[in-house]
Amino acid sequence: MKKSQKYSSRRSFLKKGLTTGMVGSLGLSAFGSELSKAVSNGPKYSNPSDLKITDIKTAYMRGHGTHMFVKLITNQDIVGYGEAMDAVRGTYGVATGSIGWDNMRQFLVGKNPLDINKIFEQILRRGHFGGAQSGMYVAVLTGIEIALWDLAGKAMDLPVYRLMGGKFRDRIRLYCDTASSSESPEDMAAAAMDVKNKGFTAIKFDIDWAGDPSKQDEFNMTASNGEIERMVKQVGAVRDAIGMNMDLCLDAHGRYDLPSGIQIAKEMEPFKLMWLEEPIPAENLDSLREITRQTKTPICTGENHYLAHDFRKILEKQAADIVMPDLHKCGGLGEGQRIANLANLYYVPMAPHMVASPFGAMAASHCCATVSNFLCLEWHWISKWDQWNELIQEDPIIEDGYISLSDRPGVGVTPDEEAIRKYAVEEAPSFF
Amino acid sequence: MKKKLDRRSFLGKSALAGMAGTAWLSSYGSGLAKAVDNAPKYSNPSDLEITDVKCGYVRGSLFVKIYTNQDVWGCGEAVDAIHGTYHLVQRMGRMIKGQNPLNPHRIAEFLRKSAFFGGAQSGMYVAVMTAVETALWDLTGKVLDVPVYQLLGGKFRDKIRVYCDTALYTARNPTPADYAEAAKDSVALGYNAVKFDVDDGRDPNKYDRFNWTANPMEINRMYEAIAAVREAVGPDIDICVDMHGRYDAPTGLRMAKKYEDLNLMWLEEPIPADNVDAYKFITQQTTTPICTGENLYLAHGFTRLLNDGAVDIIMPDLQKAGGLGEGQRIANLSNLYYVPFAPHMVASFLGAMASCHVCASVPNFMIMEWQIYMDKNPMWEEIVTYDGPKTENSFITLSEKPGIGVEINEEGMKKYAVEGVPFFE
Repeated sequence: MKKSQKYSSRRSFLKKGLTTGMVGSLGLSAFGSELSKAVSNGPKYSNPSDLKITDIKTAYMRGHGTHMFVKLITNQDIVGYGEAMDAVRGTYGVATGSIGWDNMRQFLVGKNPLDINKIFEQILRRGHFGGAQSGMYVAVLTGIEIALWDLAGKAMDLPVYRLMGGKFRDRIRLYCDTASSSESPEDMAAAAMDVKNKGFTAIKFDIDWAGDPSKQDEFNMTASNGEIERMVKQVGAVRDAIGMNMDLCLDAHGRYDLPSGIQIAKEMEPFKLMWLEEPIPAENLDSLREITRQTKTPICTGENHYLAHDFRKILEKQAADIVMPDLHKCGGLGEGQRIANLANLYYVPMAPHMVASPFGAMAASHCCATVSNFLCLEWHWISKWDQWNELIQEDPIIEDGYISLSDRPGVGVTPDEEAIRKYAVEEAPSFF
Repeated sequence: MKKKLDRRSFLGKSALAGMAGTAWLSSYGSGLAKAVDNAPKYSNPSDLEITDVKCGYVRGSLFVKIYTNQDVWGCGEAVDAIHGTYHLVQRMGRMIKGQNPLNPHRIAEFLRKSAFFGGAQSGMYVAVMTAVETALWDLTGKVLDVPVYQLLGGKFRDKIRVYCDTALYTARNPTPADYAEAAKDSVALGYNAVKFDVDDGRDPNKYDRFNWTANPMEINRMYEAIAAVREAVGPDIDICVDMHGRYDAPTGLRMAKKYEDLNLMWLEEPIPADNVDAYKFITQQTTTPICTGENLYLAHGFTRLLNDGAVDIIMPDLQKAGGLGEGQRIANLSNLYYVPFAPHMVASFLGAMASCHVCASVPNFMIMEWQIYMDKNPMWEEIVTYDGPKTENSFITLSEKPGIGVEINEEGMKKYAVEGVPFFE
């Protein structure tokens, strides 16, 4: 009885004209002319709902560093996948509760997964004395949060971006992270041209090199003139090769001290970078602001910052020109949207750090699509393109340097568990 | 021909899920890729587009309907900063015609950016945009067949606590006994929090109509009125006091300190909205929580207030401040400062329920405004269509219907329409 709702399903509104015609106009007109009657006869979807999380499983993989995949299982044969990165190595059991009592599993099993932000907040609050301010706890929670979005989207038959207020764009621009700083300027230029020829419109290089022979000391963080000279030659060769219109970013991985950071930023000014990333480490924002204020080179930071609170501090101090939360570490897609919205109040663009699998890349893309100030998303797999393609069940998602946002329910791509198993972290006690 | 994956089956009671069968359900679990490849591609591209925007004005409210090429529409409301804006609504309608309505954040940003030189920073343009933005959420929810809160990341709560504004300001020179009686009246109706205005431009003891300093007689009047309320309702009912930004900083501070022993939920706008430093001056010197926000617009309006710790509680008006999406952004921002979110609300039940979806979707929601006249004056019943009671025991139950869950009733509204302004034409 309930199945014959008076009003038409959403598909009727959204399909191409032909299909709409097939559905007929009876249901459609009910929304227009008799909405109040129609809606009171409509089903009450989620209050109460029988959809419940019954289990959580994780799998750890070596890919670009350590990946944590999350699988949320429900009572209705529907699963949600999530992925967290970098700050997850050794967190086996934090999410699933196989070890210890204070785990995240207990806040998930039995819960309706549709109230994503609520569950996220509950787990965050529960960890107040357990490290929920930053770091590993947040990263693990991030994997769960993404799985909740995937699950909610599938349950409601909607792509995640729809559940986040709709999209600003259909394609997500990528920048390609490429060759190593130990290579010669000529080799770096050739690698850059290869990336350009593959269709990318933006590129990033690392400029920190621990093995640089000009380094005077293994532990101090001061760049010698020789090191800076090496960087200038490398970047100059790349800029000459790709021209001025391809965007160029540099990453220093927080491996320099404040005077070196200022000097590097200033030396790079002629190359009109899109940004210089983490010239100094993440912790001291007053120091970062010093660099940002003293140079024309845009300064970017964020992959080692967690939750909107960390970004509030960056933005209030105007310590960076661009923020780059890692959406697989910083709290997730909802928190990513909140960070972008916050940055938008300071006219600061968001360019997420991203080293996850194609599943995680598509999850991040949903968030990037829903905010106005998205700039570009990282892609860091050019040296491991084969493994990248293996990791999902669907066809490759990158074309001409862009990801086309999925319109399928949930994240829209599915981790290939067998492929992930091939690269599993052996020390992890369980695999899904 | 397309394989139909119906979310209702996941969400309905088990009997219903059983009816839907399990063959395709299992394909989600065991063969997702296949299932999703066969699923319809909903919105990319879609033929749904905005065809028209119409409006009507009733008292302090602007009601907007956004129409589409598929006989589904969305309803929105804005308040207060909307008088004389008929042509602006028409203009915004022309701006968004032809667009797919399912991206409310994007369209709101488009409207804002289109008027950077046309007043989009604050005030009337933002208020009118708010009605349009709200109608887009309603429309999107209806089309996607989900309540608006689900498009805001799900809900933290099913019931939204409200406080009752007693509207005693309509009485001339009310006595403390009148205040006490009005408070008891609201509590008898089930409300567990009440608000009173204490600013009174007609106070016969005023020395000067234009300066903003309250004299000792006015200060005593403002104090005794609320002391009588506390006496009448006891310690467990929350009391808020509103000064409507009609006093200067020394008066605001003096009242905030004088009220300390009455344990208010908050003192609202002791001074006007514009000067953050003056708010900080008051807030840091009193234990009475200070609240402001109904005359601030967009998240930008709240950044410095929060950054400087100038206020204890914020109260954006979600029918003025930029819309439901902006309301959620404001709440999320204030959450970073551990500041609760208590929206101002003087709209119809359409605006009230629209606000409820935002209040449900954020962790730091505290309480929302409600007006006693909405319980007593039949106009508020006639101008909208909804099911069930509006408030029960100081709570509004969040609608689970697609969209906002409350409709504009054009027929019922017509007789109250502002004269001389075209009404949904």
